[in-house]
Amino acid sequence: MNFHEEILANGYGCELKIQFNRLITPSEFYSIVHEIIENIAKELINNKAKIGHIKLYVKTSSGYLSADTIDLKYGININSSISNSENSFILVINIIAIKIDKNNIAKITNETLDKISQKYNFSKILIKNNFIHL
Amino acid sequence: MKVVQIAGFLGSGKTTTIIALSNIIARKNKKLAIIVNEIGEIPVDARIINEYGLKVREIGGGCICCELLVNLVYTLDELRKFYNPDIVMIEPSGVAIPSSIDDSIKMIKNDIEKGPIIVIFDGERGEELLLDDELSKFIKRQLINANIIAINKIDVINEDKIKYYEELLRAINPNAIILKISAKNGIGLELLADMVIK
Ligand SMILES: Nc1nc2c(ncn2[C@@H]2O[C@H](COP(=O)(O)OP(=O)(O)OP(=O)(O)O)[C@@H](O)[C@H]2O)c(=O)[nH]1
Ligand SMILES: [Mg+2]
Repeated sequence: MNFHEEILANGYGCELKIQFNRLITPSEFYSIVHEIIENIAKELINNKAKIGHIKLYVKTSSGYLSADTIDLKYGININSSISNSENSFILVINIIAIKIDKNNIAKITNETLDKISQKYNFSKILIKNNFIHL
Repeated sequence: MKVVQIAGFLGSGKTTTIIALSNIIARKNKKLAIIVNEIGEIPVDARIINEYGLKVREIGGGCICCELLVNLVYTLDELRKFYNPDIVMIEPSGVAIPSSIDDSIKMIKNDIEKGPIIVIFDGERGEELLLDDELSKFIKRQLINANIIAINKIDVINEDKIKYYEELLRAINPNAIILKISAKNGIGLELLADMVIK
């Protein structure tokens, strides 16, 4: 038996290219990222999962941003060196959660990204994704 | 080439600790490399570590404590041949069992010195995790073979909580050295860096 099956940890990750039809300021990047993490976390909690770690990395031509949470009650941590307004960026998300099926983690992630892309009017092109069973 | 594991549960602060230790170790003129194993093919940690200009190799697509042990042995061997660092810090995934990784490091003969198993304990969420039956069992398995246990995030917990954790961790693993650190603001990291180097 695999050690990890003991704690039913599952993961999902994806890498996307995000494209806006206008320039996005560093502070807008910040709030979009915050909203993505917050919404994924909320949905995981609504589905009775325990968050292992939600991590996000954004790369733009002027810098990068990293963000994560281990649970909303411990807050969302965001560090950013993005200094310019830009209209596209690469977004990587890696989610490990406990007591939830991997398909559900993927579904929650994709639905959240769909919702936020509609709200902020951006398109997203999937570069890579994977289903991970630990 | 000395190989040190910085292990611990998901989100305990392994990557933050490794980045902070790397700065201290580099100041002491030691050549350093980092191996990160995140489950899945779309890892985040290696990219962040790379942003700090550190030499990092990632092993993805599984866990190095089980199906990817061979990749770890290969990566270590390759680092030794082509980069020859003084110290390699390995960050296993948060759901890895550090003792299994240690067993395979022991099997590599070529000029590899096995350093301590350091397990980071999350001082902020540790109590909550230990209240969950299954997680608690798992976390104890991670801690039981540690040489050093570092209670992390002490910047956000009070003295009483730290004392409580110290007693709890000593009961789980009486042989480990227990340190108190904040990877975020640097408390206790000089001492931990010395233990990595020596
Ligand atoms: N307050 C506080 N937060 C910390 C400290 N160290 C790490 N963190 C935060 O804890 C979270 C997880 O840190 P990471 O270093 O990514 O943890 P990790 O163990 O590498 O996580 P995984 O690789 O996903 O298992 C991040 O939000 C960090 O900023 C600390 O000393 N104090
Ligand atoms: Mg990490």
